[in-house]
Amino acid sequence: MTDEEIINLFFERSEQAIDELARQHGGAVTRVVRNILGNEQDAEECVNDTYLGVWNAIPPHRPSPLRTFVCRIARNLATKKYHANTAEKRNSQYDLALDELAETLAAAGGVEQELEAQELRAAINGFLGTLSAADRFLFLRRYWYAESVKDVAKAAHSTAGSVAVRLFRIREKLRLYLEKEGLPV
Amino acid sequence: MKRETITRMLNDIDDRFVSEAAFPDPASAREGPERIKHMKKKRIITLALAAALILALGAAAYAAGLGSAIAEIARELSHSVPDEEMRKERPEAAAYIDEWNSRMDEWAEMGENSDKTAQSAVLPDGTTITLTENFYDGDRLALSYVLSAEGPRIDYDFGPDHECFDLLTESNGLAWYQDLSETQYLEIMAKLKLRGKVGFVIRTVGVGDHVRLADGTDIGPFIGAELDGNTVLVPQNGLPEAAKGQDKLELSFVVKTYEAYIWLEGDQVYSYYPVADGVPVSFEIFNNTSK
Repeated sequence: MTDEEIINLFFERSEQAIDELARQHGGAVTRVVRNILGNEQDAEECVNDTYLGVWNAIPPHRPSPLRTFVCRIARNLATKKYHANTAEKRNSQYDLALDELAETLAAAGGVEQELEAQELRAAINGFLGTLSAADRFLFLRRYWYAESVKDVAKAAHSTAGSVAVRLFRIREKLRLYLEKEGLPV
Repeated sequence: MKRETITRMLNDIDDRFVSEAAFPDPASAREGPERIKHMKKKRIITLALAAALILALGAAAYAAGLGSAIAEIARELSHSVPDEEMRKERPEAAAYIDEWNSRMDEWAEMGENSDKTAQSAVLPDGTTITLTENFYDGDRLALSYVLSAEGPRIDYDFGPDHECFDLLTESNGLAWYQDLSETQYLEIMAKLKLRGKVGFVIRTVGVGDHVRLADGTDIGPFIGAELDGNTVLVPQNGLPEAAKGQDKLELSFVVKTYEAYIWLEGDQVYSYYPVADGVPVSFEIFNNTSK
């Protein structure tokens, strides 16, 4: 079934929409959520909440691509739950990914302060626009989809060592970009 | 930077970047960043509705009418043959490239033997779709078409009085501007700056993701490639049974006008995407081997 047909089922308020959504994109949703939460029970709850979120959003929304839309809802719910969990409970790929970024972005010794959402949004998207498509792919896979370095390497047909080095360089570029933009890191 | 702040920053990444990384990246199958730099023209994006791939090639020198777009694109998309070192150190990547090149050889062969008689259909609004080339041997299919249509058009006739206004949903992070020219984008931003809010409709003409037979059978999903206005489509998983072994096929494309209703107010983005209207257009192609 195509995305268009699945969306039509949501518009018709047919519960089959959830089944078809799960069949077409459930794998991607579950991977994102598992990578972030690292806990099967939390992940299962979060996947179900994601489907409910999609049910409530369509209609009126008619997203394209559907997979990105669903994964974004899943990621938002999962990261919310991740930050609500206790430190002991956090043991996921996302934890490691955040460690990598936090380490690099703290290295400049900037004053810690809350940044305006708008500034951050512009900065991260501006930064990604400066990267090559290949580097952007690595960054998104590691930090948005929260995949392990090994899985990122597999998706990019590369080795884990090579990906780790490239990710390190990309994080350094991000730090320099944010500094240049006047954002405290 | 706090971990929560980093999460918020990552959550704000645009849809276009998230979509771009949704599927494994064949462009990365080559060596290191230096090599990839030369391949930026071959960026992969996804066409979600048909689960197809479009390989966008910007500046290659193919000129319509001078040869086979299918064969030319196949040559452009072929990778260098992996050397022994790569075969030893990264056998999976080498195997992937071999498989891809073999598929491109098949495309080139289909292009060289294709029927290059152009067929055109002109729509009431002046949009023209031309099937420039086709190959069908009863088992395999390759198509090339050119769509001539007005670029994305912006109409500033959208506001709170419009019937679609209540259908808007908050869409912060939406890359609504990605198909617009810089001039169009700057014009919108200037209006936003002046008034603090602006409403507009982006109308774009495109070809729907499905190609069907006369009986309604969908013959996609496709692997597709675009080169200088030519779009080449080859079924990703072969032809369905209904399309095999025929003397001729009647193929139906749908030319659609996609509308995006956008309302910008301060930092907030609201949008509504109605179902696109479509005009079906049919072309008849013949089995190249039965001529």
